[in-house]
Amino acid sequence: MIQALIIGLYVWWVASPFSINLSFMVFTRPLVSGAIVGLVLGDVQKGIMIGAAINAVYIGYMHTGGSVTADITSAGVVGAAMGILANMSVEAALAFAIPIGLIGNAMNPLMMAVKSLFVHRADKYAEDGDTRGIGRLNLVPGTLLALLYPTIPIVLIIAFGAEPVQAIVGAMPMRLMAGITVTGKLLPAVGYAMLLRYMARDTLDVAIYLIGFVLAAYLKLDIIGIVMLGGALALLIYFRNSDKGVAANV
Amino acid sequence: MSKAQPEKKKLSRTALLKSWFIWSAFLHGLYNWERMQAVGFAHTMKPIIDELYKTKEEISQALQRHLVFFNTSPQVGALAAGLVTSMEEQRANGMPIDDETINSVKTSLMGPLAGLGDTITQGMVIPILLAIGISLGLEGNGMGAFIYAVGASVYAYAFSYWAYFQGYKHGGNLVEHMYGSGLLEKLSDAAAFVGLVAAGGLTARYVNFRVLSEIRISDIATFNIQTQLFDRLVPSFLPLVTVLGLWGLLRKGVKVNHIIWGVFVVGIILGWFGVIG
Repeated sequence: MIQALIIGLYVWWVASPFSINLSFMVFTRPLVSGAIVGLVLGDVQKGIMIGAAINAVYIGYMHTGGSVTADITSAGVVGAAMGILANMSVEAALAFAIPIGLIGNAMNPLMMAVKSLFVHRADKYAEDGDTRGIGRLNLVPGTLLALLYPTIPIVLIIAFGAEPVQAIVGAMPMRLMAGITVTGKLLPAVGYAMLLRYMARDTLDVAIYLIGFVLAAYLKLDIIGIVMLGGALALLIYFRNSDKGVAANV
Repeated sequence: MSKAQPEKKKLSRTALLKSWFIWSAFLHGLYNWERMQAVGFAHTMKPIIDELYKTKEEISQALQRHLVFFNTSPQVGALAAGLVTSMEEQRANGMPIDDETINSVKTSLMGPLAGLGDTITQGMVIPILLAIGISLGLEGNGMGAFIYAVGASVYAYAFSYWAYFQGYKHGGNLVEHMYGSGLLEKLSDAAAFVGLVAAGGLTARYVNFRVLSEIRISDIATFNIQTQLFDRLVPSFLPLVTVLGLWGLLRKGVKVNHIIWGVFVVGIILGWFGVIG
């Protein structure tokens, strides 16, 4: 119970404005939240293994113009906590976390809609020339709303969910488990497709993506090597001939 | 009133640092559908407005001017905040900069900066750092989470600091220079290039599913599509084809959320019957 509350405090902080925008960059990521949940529950190693496995599903996930595709906060925290408390395997915890990320995602647009209601208060403060009011408004509603979601549901699941979850996962047909596991293996592909969609300037840019694929699939380079090579190529292509080249051509 | 003052108003270092920090930390404090980062932007301007303007009228006008719809990428977008800060300073010193000018600068910058910023931050930096962290984390190595956390935090704050003060120092000239020389486009293209190469590599390394079913050729022989065909010709063939196929769906305008639920259903069916795993 105390552990659930400590995790709740963490989630509240992460979801509130006081996470100083490091939530999106760092603390909502299951890789990190899994390790922290593991620390609270006394099994850091399992926490980070589950967190890393969950996060592998969401490597390519982007947040653009307010739309996101998964609630990675809930997926990471609940997945790691249940994995440890209900004594699940890493695979089972992953299979449990994925539906949570999907369901929780429905809350994001709702929260943003609720926050819209406060904007008119901001207009009022602006009319009054109340700069402090604006600052307060930017921080207080977000903090309170973060308590409603995702903090309270997550605390409740962690505090009371271990046994039911254990029962549910235990009663799940092997075939369903295998099915959710396959979903977990397919979902990263959505992330990479999104990255491709966002970054390919035209259809031919898929060639750049293929270069990276070949480097890893055939040449077995690891990601740091691939990035260094990609960076070197990008420098040559986009920056080498910028000024000198023009001068030389004249 | 400000025009009557002989001495030039200069923003203090403290006010600038406060403004930069509010931008970096609280831009999404009240992120909402109606005006996105508007309240965060107005909050960012609080230390600037407090220092530059004294009458209620001026303060009110300044706040209203910054409560309009705004949405950009936090790290790279700090450039817009720095730039607008320098415009406010000039305005307070009597330069003829009206609301309209400031608004049009903000509106014209937020799109391109969001494009550049999302490409660099979400398309390149985060996936690469995550991949490094995850590869350690899967082995139970806590350094994976630590390296990612430190790397991403330092990146976020260092980049926004640099961008904010570049914007403040160079003002409109910088924007003109970036557009004029094509630097903005080049940076964006280069980041997209690195991100795409990384995405290709990550597809091969981190998307792992294989065909499990075998085709019976005769009573004693079976043909394993995965080991006897894919693995020999194109390793990670299925992940590659899946990513390209989903990309095609996205290009056709299919909504991401529909795709995700579709993947969920297809995954359960294929897993249930043991076709892939």
